[in-house]
Amino acid sequence: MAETANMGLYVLIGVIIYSIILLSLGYIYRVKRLTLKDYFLGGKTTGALFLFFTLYATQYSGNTFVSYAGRAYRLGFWWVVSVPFFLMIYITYLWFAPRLYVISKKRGYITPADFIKDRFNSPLAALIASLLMLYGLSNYLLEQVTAMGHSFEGITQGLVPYWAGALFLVMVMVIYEWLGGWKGVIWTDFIQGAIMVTGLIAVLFIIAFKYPLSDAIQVWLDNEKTSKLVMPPPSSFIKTWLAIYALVGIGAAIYPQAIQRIYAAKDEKALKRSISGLAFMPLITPLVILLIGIEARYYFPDLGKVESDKAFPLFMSMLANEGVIYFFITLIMFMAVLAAIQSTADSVLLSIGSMVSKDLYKEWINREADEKRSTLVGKLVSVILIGVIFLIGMTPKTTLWHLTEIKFEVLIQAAPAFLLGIYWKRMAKIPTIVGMVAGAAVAVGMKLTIGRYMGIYEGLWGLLVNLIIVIVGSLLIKDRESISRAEELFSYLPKR
Amino acid sequence: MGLKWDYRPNRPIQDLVWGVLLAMGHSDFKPKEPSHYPLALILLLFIALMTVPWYAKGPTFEKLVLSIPLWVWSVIIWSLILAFSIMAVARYLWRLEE
Repeated sequence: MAETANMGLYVLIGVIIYSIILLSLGYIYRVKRLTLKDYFLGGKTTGALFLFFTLYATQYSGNTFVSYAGRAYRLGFWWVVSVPFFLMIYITYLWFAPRLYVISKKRGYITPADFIKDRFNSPLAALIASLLMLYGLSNYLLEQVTAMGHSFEGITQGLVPYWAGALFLVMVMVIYEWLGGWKGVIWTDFIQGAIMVTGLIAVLFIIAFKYPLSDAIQVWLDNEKTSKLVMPPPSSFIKTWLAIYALVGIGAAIYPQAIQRIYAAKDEKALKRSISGLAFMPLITPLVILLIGIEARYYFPDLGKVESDKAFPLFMSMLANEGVIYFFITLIMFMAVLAAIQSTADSVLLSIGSMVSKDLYKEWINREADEKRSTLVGKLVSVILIGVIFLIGMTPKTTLWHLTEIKFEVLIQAAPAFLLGIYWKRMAKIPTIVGMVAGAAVAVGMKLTIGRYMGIYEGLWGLLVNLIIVIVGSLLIKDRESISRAEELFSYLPKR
Repeated sequence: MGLKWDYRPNRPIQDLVWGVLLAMGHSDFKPKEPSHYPLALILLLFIALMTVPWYAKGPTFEKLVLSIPLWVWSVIIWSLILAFSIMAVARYLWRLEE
């Protein structure tokens, strides 16, 4: 079909129109007052709808579309685990978001480390938490930049080379973010999220009515892949499923960009409504991607391990051949992949900028700097950083490359400071600092040497060491300063 | 008359929500306002599932529903119930500002 052959061209045209819209939004919502609160958190006035879309578009990246479909292709229904593990993120929110929201409003927090500094009266604890989060986030950003290049090249069928695709999308993102800051990001997240939801719902209906799943499942049976259809054994459930729940549930909930979205809520109602809506999104997003992977196995049965990551584009390209409507749905889905990557990357970049300007520059380098100067430093450093990340992404993989694959493992070590620190008055400063450092050392050390132990992720072993140090240390040391600080902060919470 | 969102023993749906709540230490969050909305949605879901035999003969059901293994359905349904619980906790049981 002629349209399919020209798919690359149509996607390119679509991306150009979409980019013009994003740039216009960045210009319309350009920041007029350069303060940390306005530029990085939109003055903390974000309503429920925008909060919902920015959390959604930020949380689900391009990885969710491309890589998850590939996993479903390889693992079969086992990959339904991706639905509850996203729900675990919201369970973690239920744990800490309400308390953090109240305290952040009273104390005017901008970055996640602001809470840690305030809770333990320790700029050092805040610095360590910030560095851990910056390292994890920079790697996450690198992942998104390389995904931009690969996806753009794949979707346009090679019309746009890897480097040019990544460069174009990065440039667009940097411009609208430079102009609009938080408001630029949440408006573009709104558009990106809407594209993602529209495409996914359309594909769900197509799968339900056009491509019988029973046929797809038959091929698994014919190829003696029945193990991919049955429930995982209890040992696998405990080791793998629960480990994924813990790693993603905790790690993704304390992503700095996620925490800052809690700070940015306009009011209690906005936060409540956005989280209520988000709770249902795993049933629309990873579940539909799972079905795409299952279907792709039927129509493209011979893909190898590496090739299976093409399950998503292959299935969608096949769909495009069915007619004009299907062609446009495919176009929307391809745009959704790019939107998902870009919406995650822009939020990460903004978060990095805020941490550099507030936690590093203003706290440690130039305490006298005014808000305008600090914000400008954050903006400039984030542009330089994305430039460096782009260059790293363009270089061939070296032996040092696996350092860039460490993300959750390091990030998750800041979790006890938030999740325990927001409840436990006795939690002391020194064990918190030692716990974070030791946990990160264990996680990175294991990742670089022995890898997973007993099948459980390195980051979780680090977290275990971290927690033991924090709990035992806090019970042994009575840190009066941290206790009185906790009492002061907790006094803002509603009484029983 | 009508359903109210308050804690009573032996009511499994409320117990589930309160269980999630209490397990997470949110004993300081009380229901802000009574509402039958979340419970009604959960009941509607169960009613919808109970009507499965009536439309089970249709082609859509055979294509989509029957072909998915039962254990996968259980994960999906429990995820849905969990999503309703999260919504109920966030919307009706958080009390953030006085």
